[in-house]
Amino acid sequence: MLHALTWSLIEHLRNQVPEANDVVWVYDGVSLTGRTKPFLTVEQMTGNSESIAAGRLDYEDIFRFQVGLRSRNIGERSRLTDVVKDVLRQPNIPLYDTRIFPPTEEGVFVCDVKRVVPIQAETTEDETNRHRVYFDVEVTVYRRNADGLNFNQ
Amino acid sequence: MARGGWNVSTRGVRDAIRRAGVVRNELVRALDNETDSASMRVVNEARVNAPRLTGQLANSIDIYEKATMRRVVGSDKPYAQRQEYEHASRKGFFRNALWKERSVFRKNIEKILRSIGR
Repeated sequence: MLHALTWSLIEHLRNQVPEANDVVWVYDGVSLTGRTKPFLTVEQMTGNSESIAAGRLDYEDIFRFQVGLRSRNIGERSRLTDVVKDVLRQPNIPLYDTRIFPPTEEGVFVCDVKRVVPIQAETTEDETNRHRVYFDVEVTVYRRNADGLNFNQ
Repeated sequence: MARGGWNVSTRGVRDAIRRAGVVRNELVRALDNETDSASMRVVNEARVNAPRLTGQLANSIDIYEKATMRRVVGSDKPYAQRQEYEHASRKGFFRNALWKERSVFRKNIEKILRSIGR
């Protein structure tokens, strides 16, 4: 589920934000230095999982992502912040089944954009880290344990 | 004033308070106490999780605003937000504390709503 959601989110951003040169899946060791701006980053954050019915079968799973936007200037950052926010709030984001190759569209899901947080650069010489903003994104699903990609939202 | 503080507040309990009648004040007090406890748990957890060089960041995490059933938890350090989103190994120290508390807070509020007026 997590892999499918992450992959689908990245694919969605790639398709719907053509202004972004790249959407980078951030994990240990991935460097952002030298990439052509503007670009987006997607990173997994701590999720929550809670049993919501007797029998420990049904769960509320919250998947969280930190989506970053790095842009060339403040104007671009302001414009793209709105674009990315709107794209993430779209009601029908395609969900791909990534257990098979090539991934096929399995359904749709929705995201919540909880916060949009601009970060000030530590020094103006650090070009990579200028004009950046983060979106706190949550995907809440209700699903039966070990039931593949079947869920409700 | 906290920079980019987070709200810890009870929402969706207005109906319950309206219907509480004679125990209204008791209910509000109980919910306010729970909000305070929840925000203190967030503060403590965030302090434990925070990256430490001098300890100033961890020490700066506190409750910065108080209102009935509402607290604002945050830090007054200008670099707190950057560390929260970009620290190499401890990013999300604040949000993790908040997310961990969410279900506990929700359950405790349910408990209070069930117990009041019995």
